[in-house]
Amino acid sequence: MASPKELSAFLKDVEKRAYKRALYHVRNNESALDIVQDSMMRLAESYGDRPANELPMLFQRILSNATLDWFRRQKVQNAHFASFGNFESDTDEGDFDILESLSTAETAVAFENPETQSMRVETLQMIEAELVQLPDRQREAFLLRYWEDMDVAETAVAMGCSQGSVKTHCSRAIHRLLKTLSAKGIRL
Amino acid sequence: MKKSKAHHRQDHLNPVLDAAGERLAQILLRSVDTLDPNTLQRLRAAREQAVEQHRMALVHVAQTGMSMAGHGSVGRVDSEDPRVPVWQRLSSVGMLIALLLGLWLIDTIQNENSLQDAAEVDRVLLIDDLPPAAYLDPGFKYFLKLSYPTKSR
Repeated sequence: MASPKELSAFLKDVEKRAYKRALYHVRNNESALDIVQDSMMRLAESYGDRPANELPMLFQRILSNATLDWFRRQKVQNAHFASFGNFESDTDEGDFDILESLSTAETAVAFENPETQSMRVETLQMIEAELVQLPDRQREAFLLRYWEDMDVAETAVAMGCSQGSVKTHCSRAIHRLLKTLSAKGIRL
Repeated sequence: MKKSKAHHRQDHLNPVLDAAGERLAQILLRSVDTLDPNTLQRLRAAREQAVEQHRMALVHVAQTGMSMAGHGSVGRVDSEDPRVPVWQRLSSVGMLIALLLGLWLIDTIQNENSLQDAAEVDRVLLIDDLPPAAYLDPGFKYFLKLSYPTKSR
């Protein structure tokens, strides 16, 4: 059983990423905070008796469900909620060449130069803007796999789908992000 | 067939895509460090509330466990609590037996007294003088006839 100290340390470690992840989905600051708070309370109330090493997976699953619940409530409140329909939509990747959008190692080092601070901020904002435009399932798969640093199997468990679906969602998400960023002249 | 090949290809995330995904995530993670103080404060409050909830749940579980243990010991007192000495249990049985004996003795004495009272009444009646009016009673006359047939004849 996780002690209050272990639970506190875990939540402190994940709370910022959880908030941003929720924010990318719901695009509303208050709602994102509510979702994170709700997820924390659900974890403490329902799964506080679980070992500390099980908390990360449980929390990610709870956060996903809380986000989905938020979309469901929004759908009930607004029958014409268009974004929710994106959950199962997909886009074609075309013949986009990934390698062209990736910079070399030297370029990546140059990217870290303090003189390019404004460029970094601009790039971050562009990626965030494109991320929120992704279909929800693709965004969720991308965030769990790379943002939360889960492996494919863990992501599949958290999303309640197959590993193949996770790979497909991630692949399409990265293709779309790189393609859009490349069109704007941004290379990573 | 062509479609299934394309689907199969999508199921395998190649290393280049993986690297691109990680690089995108690295850039995105920088946004975590730029959260405003108000948001951080609210996240901290939410975390503390959840931890407090967890702490209360632990206390509740502990109290429930202690309560159940207490109920268990109370249940044993009535039947087989080893802390009650043998002499105390034997004295309880002895007192019960004494009570039953006392009740039996009282009942026996009361029966004896009522028999003695009835015998005393009979004795007084038998030794007392017979009143003359008794000879006018048909029942008594019939009694004398049966008891002393020769005299009455």
